[in-house]
Amino acid sequence: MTEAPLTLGALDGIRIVDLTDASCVYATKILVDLGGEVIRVEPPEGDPMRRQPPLDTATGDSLFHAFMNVNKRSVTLDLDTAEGRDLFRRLVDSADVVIESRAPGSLDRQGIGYRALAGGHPALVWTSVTPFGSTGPYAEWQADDLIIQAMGGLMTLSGLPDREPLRLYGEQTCFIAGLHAASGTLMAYWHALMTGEGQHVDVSVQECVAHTLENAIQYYTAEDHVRGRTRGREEPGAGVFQCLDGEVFLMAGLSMISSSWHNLVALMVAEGTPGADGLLDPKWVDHAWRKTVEARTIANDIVARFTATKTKNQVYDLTQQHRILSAPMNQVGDLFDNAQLKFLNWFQDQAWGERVATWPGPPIRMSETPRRAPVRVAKAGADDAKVLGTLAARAEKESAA
Amino acid sequence: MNAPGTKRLPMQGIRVLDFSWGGAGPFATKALADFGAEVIKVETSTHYDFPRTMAPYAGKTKGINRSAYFANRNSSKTGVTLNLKTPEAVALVKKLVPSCDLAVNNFRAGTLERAGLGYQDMAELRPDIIYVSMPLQGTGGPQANYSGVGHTLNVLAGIFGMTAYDDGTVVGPGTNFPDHSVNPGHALVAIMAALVHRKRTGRGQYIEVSQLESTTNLLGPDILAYSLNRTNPVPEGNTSRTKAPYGVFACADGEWLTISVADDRQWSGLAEVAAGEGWAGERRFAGHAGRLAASAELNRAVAAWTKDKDAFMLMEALQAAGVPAGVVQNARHLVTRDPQIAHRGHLVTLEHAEMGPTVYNNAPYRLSNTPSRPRRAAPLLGEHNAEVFKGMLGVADEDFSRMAEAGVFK
Repeated sequence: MTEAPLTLGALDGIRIVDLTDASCVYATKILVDLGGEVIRVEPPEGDPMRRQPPLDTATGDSLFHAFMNVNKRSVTLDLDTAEGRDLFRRLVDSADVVIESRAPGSLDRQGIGYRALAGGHPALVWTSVTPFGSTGPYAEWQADDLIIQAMGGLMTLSGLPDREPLRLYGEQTCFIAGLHAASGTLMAYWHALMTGEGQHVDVSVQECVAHTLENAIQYYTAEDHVRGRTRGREEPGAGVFQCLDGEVFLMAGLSMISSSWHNLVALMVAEGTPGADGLLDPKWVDHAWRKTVEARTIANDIVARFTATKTKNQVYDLTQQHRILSAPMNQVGDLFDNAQLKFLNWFQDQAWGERVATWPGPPIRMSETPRRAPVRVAKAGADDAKVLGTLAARAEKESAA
Repeated sequence: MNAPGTKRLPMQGIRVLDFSWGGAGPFATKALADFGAEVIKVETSTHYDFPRTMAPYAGKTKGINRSAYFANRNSSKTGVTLNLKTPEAVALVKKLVPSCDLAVNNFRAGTLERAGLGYQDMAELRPDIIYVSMPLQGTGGPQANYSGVGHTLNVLAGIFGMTAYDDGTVVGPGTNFPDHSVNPGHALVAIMAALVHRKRTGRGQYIEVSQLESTTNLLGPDILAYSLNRTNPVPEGNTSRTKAPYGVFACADGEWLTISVADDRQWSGLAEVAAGEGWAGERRFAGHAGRLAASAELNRAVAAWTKDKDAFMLMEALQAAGVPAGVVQNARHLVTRDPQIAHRGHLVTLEHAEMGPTVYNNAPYRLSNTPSRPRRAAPLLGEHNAEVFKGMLGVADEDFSRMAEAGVFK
């Protein structure tokens, strides 16, 4: 079991009130990793995210929720009551940052939005994350990960050309928007540290996705070409190839890093792969020939013979040692055996009830301010007494004085 | 109150020595530059930043200063060229270091160290420097020297294998996804946190964003789930276990519309827009459980209903009725007809000396008092050599000419 490091996190002591949902909760996950004191505000019946798959099949606990909220504090507040709203005001008053993903204007209508609460707290940074932004013609529109992948332009690039566009797996827009929200929040916090001036940060999840399209926007504006879905194996030496225990992905065409193709041919010849000698013919560097279906079929049949007799990690090691771009097609379970992640001690074991859970390791390593180990997934309201109690005591003291 | 554009930007006063190249690193430092930091991008003319020779090109004409892909990732930056194989070039970098808050690179582990420009070297010159490395797979280990790009990272980190149609056809994300999402994102967040830490303690530090570690986080919940359940997740394609109807539906003119119904309120919105369709009024679909139980049938019925309709008009009607719906937009839609992207001011056109008017993405978040803006076109190769070496470092004219002759700025 890993002990929490004695060193302080980079954001130690910075209090962040967290009202985000699955559209962007990765924002506060990364900020708690960096040492921020993140206080998650849940309704009295608990956060609906506590039911979001994947689940622990033994206990029914949401592991999406656990991953996103480990090490945060949890308080429960009923914002539909005057008392809940009053406590929320006090909580915000004690905080440096608020990050929320309520519908535009909804907290304002309850009297606990940015405008109402920033007046007495000029350094406050308040970040709103909404599907399309806080203002504008689509501000009121509804969306989830699927709708945003479509509207942001990511989905049109994913899938096969003769089939429907394909959603990327695993709530990817939560990661994209979460990281942008965290960046924008920290820039505003930095500005507040330097000048004492807080501000509102308005994040559009759609815009975050439109920022993540590789070169598709510029392909249109610079060359008038609309990028769509393509087959990933349009060149000899590139694509997914069957191995003894799964598949390997090779990018050994001439178009990306041309030495990859020559290295692959040389390796297959040395290995005695049937037919590989033929690929030494000069026609295999002729781009017109390489673009034909015939060329692809001939070459990739030979490559398939080469990979079929080996495991995917054998092909990975062998090709990489010969400077050929490649990767084993990993399933989630394979990641635990990845030699590099093991060497880096990336995975972190922690007690999970009577069992042990293996947590994903840090996405970032910082020499002076290491990440806190993933220790505690708070039950809803676990920190009511500590956090809200302190606020109530402070309020009493103020009214007595 | 300051007029827009004249207000002090949040990163003003921060100087960045930026050796990063390719997709991921420059996207992180772009944000710093667009928010006011002075980012000095260091290239060599023999090993320039390789997206300079990647399409798309302005007017489809190739040229080292014409890639719109390169341009977008390098707005607002200052560009210099140095041949770090010459001692004088290394000396110039060392002369710059004391004035720099940050140094960023995403070379293979050890590359800058060999040039005498590792973290320890720079920290001797500037003790509180924040030094960011973004090696592909960490700095040590059996596969630390393996090569990769965003596409291979997709495969290695597991997201490729999970992005599949629900019939099991594996396709993967269609882009070098982590180069544009988590890797610049994690680097930028770490940089900002390190700046905050430095402000509060006076201490700089070494930051490592191993692109493998960073990208593997994209499946974080599933990794945790595997450790407890010992089963691999199953790709979902465009289906949902919790919502119905749900998916991507063909419309007229080759467009596609996504629709996602999570609850009874959204269902009644859909039923209202689809009034007259048999399925919209069926009692067994009135409750969430009934819809989920018959989701395949319901999705087929919705598909038959959408196939001749205009996707954009249907989206407007559904959203007006409170139903999550969105067209699968491409770049042309985003640039020419999305009123929300226009309202946000997401795309900014700047005049570039060789490319002419060029479109840049702005940061996707608006700081109400200090909004970002790509302020200046991407640098031509070596555009600011004189400005930086003569102006900033005070190299005399004759020395500058001599160094140029000697290939220091190659």
